[in-house]
Amino acid sequence: MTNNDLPTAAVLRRRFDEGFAVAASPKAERLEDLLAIRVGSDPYVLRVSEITGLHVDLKIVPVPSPVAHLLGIVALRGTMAPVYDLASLLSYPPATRPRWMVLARVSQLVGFAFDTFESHVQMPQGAIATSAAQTAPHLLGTVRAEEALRPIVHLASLVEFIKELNP
Amino acid sequence: MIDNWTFGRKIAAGFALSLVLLMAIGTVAYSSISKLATISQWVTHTHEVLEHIAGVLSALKDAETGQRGYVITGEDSFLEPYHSGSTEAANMVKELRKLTADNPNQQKRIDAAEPIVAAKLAELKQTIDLRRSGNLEEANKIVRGGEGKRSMDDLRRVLSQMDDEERELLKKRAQEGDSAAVGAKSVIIFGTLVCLLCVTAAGVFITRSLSRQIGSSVGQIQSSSTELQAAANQQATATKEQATAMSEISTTISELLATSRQIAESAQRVAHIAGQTAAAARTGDATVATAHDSIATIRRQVDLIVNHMLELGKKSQQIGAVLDIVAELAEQTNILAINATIEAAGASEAGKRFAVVADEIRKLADRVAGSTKEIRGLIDDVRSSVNTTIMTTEGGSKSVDAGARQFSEVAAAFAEIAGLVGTTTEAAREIELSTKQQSTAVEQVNVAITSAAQATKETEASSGQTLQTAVELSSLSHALLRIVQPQAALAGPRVR
Repeated sequence: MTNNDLPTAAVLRRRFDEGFAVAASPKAERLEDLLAIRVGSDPYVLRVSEITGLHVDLKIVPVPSPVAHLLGIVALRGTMAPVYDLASLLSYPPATRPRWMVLARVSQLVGFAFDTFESHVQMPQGAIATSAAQTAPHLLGTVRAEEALRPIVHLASLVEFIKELNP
Repeated sequence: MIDNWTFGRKIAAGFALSLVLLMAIGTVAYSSISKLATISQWVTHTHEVLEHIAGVLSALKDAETGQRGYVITGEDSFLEPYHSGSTEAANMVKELRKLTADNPNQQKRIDAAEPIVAAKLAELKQTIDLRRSGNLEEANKIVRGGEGKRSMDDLRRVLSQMDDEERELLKKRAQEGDSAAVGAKSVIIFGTLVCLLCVTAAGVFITRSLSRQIGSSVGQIQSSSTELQAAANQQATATKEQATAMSEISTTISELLATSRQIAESAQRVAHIAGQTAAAARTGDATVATAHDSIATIRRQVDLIVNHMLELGKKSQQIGAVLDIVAELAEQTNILAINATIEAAGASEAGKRFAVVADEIRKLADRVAGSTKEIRGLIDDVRSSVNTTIMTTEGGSKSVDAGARQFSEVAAAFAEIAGLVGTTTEAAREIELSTKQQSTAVEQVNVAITSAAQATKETEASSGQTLQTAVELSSLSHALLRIVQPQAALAGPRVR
């Protein structure tokens, strides 16, 4: 991006004001909030509706566990939550410790750590290709976002998988 | 020896011999004729003396005849013979004395005859006077006395002696004349014969000698003319080749002259350019000195640039640190906005409005993050450029140092170049001068070659004339040989 591509301050102000001035269209298609991430070197997306929070650089305290995917536990607002390595769960070889983490929207606090958070994107429901039969474990369809075809990580499936690992 | 005589000498010798013989014959003939003439003159003289002797006696007879007629007749008309005879007789005696002046004997006889004549004339006059005076008898008496007759007898005797002597002389002189005439004839006949023989012998000798000499000379002339003809042919051929060579040399000299002029012009241009180069070298020397000062200034400016760049690097690092904070803030803002969005998604209708605010905050955070990223990229570019500039500047500083050292070497080189260019200028001028002199010399050579070519053409024409002359000489020698030796000419080789 060059200087000419950068929006001017006036443009930014106008867009900001339009965000509050323009009424929401009732006919507008419902948008799905997604988080574009990278696991290893591959792009993925997470559905915002399946998470309760995004965090970075939290201190993960390792704890001994027979589950190899468990990185440790973190303290969040007076509660503790286990954090699992998303890459390991998606069958990637062990790498550096992930920096980013999301909390799954389930009854218990469960965190999934990953390498890179890229951006927050909103995609129409029609742009998301979902399939009833899972083509791969813990994946739920694909979406083209941030100039790449990204598999959608199914956090609920991962939570179920973790539960099976911890009977 | 005579064979070695020249043609003119032999002719002169022949003519001299003829002349000597003619002179001898002429002298002898002249002497004989002169003698004969003298004898003839003396014979005539003797006849004249004889005539006078007879004339004296005849004149006295006429006078006596007139005297007797007058005495007898007394007529004066008979005295005419007396008068003429007496006068004639006296004159005859006087002339006779003169004619015989060289003869003493005759003079003596005249001395004897002269009184007798006078006595006779006196006796005649006496008788005539007596008759005229009328004394006829006295006159007859004197006549009959016989005095007159004695005088006449004495005179006849004396005159007869004179006549005899003269006739004796006449006879003698006639004999001498005959002898002289015979001698003259003999001299003329034999001398002429001898002269003819000598002249003929000399003519034959000279003719043979000259024919032999001229024939030999003509043969040599023929041989020489043939050789001269061959030499003239060779000379004509050589002259043509020489003319062709001269033409080629002239062409080559012209090309050489043009080349010399081009070299002279090139040398002149080289000298001019060398002069300009020398001036430029001197200017370059000054420029090098100025550049040396400029390099020192550049060295200082480069140090300032390095310092400024290092300062700029430090400021960039500080900006990077600030940007890290801004980026961190943007990231946290983004995370907060996303979390707000997540929270709003689980809220009610009021949560949707909050979601709008959160989304805008997130967008702002995205934009700040993007701008921060851009700024970081720019800062990184700036730092990279600064580092590159510092490295380049340090390299430039080292290059400036090296350049300063090299400039010193360049200044020395410029001074050496200026000196060499000066030497080159002098050499170019010498080349120009030498080439101009060479051009002048070549022009002179060209003129000389042109003159030589002209002389060769003239020589060629002269060779043609020589050849023609040799042919004519051969023809003339053959004609001359035909004149002097017809047989040899007919037998000899034909002349072309």
